[in-house]
Amino acid sequence: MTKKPLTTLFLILGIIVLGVNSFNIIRYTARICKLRRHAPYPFMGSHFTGLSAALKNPPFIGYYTDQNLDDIGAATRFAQIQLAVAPTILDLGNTGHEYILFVCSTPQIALNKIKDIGAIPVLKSPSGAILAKNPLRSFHQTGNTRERRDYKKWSRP
Amino acid sequence: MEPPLILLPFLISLLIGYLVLTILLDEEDGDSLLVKIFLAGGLGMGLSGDMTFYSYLLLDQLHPSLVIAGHVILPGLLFLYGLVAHKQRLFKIIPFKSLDGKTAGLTILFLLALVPAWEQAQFFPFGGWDAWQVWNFKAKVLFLGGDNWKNIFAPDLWRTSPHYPLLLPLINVWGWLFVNRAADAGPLLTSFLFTALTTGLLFAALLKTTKNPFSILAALLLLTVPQFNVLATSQYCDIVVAYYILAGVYCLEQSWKTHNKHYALLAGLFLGLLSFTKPEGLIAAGLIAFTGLPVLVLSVLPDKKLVRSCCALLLTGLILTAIPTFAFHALYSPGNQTFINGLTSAQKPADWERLRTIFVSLGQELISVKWRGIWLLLFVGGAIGGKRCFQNQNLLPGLFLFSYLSAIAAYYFINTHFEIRWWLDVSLNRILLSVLPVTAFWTFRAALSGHAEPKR
Repeated sequence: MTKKPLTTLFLILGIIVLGVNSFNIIRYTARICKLRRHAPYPFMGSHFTGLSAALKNPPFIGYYTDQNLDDIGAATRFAQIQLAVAPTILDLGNTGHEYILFVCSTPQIALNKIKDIGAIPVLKSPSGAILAKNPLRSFHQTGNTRERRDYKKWSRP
Repeated sequence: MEPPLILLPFLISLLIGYLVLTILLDEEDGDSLLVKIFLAGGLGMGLSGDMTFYSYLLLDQLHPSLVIAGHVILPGLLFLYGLVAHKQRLFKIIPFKSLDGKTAGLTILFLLALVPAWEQAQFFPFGGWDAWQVWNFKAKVLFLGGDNWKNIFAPDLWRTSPHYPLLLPLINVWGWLFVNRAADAGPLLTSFLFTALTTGLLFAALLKTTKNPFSILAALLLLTVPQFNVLATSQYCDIVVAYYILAGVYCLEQSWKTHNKHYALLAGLFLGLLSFTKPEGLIAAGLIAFTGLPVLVLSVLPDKKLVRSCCALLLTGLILTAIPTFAFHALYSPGNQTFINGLTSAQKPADWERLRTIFVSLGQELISVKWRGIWLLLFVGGAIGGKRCFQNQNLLPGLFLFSYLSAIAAYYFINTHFEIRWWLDVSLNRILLSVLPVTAFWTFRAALSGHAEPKR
């Protein structure tokens, strides 16, 4: 076969693939549009937005969890909370910072650990996470506090 | 809903890129206009990222007023230079009259094809895993961290890949400066724009080089694959790598084909930006320069003055935009915390089973249903292109792809830190995304150049 018919064959094949894929992408796009209209994207970090600014952007806060970060759910939660509280960095497993975030399987497990280390629970999120303060530690507050949002949904534990 | 002010940084970047291209290139036909627009967007955003980095490099934190001042001074200087040296070109800055009906129609079709990508971007407004953990996290710390921005390089944060360069986070920081907060829409827009610029450049570059209206097919095929849209709009850096690979290869090829030394300068600029995207971007930039430069030199060899000009301008462009890369690696990067040399490690040696797994996984990925047959179609195109795939300027993409994929396979083999199946599962599709546009450019050009329309 000469080159020109082969090229034409390639284009026909390409158009067929495009046709099939176009049909599928239109259906897929319609499905995701419908889904998003009914259910906004679930972002586990949403309850933590503004927390860092409320604490005046400490460079680090501790992050304690009883869950294994090899578990996809626990790892997702950690990553999304980290994004929400940035520029503050979550120091995984370190309970020596002035503030420590306890994200445990149940609030009772968190409260037990808080009691063990002698920290004071300060705030509790709607999702059950507890922010505790280590009374023996303090830090120098630096950084940009542009992200001041009202941090209203948390309550006293 | 974000205020329209969120678009302003991107428009300023486009203006800067467009001014650079208008000054350097004197092509005025409609097809060239499209290529200019798609090159200008990425060039401008990359230069904005680089300029933002200088604030950290010189003043050790973000100074928004300095960055914004730079973005006012630079286009001002470019405009003044253009007025002095290229007045005619500057006043015909947007030659809309040269855009014919066919090109305009194809462009509209392309823009419509972007709708699924836009919807996909909004479906995951916070992006994917690496967006939370790496790219957007770093952007927020850079933007809001004040004196503490360097905390992102702490080796303990190995999950956030502290050794990764910063072009994408810096572009996002630039995108936030006018709204003065870390708006979620910023990274979403950046990822969508790079998706549009990459596929747009693919379409425009093919249209210009083949003069064939079926050039649109390559871009449409990519944009109708959900896997492509998901990966491209996940707010990762892989689409940014894909864009700069395509732009660098295209400009280097054009330098070769047209003997235009200014394309060599542009190629250098794009390759320098590519080196500041990801570690594999640095490898890609080096390989494109390493494979492209000798070919370029040989193509213009009788004219030694042109050889010297092209080489000098390529290296000049590369150094200009790669200064942040050098500074990053010299001053900030903690090195790769997730590397074990399997060739020397007794606990985690690299073995034949690992190598076999790499190649088997590559084969499985290429024929996987999630790519909707696009890789198979490109193989057919390459087979039909035949020896045209390795003739003239087509040689460069082929050489680059072979060397780049070999380097990636070697890295997968040697670094035994991660379990290979898991690592391939989470990363191989993104590596393929980053080379898909340049592969499509290569094979479509080889296939279509045997089916070209009569010259105008």
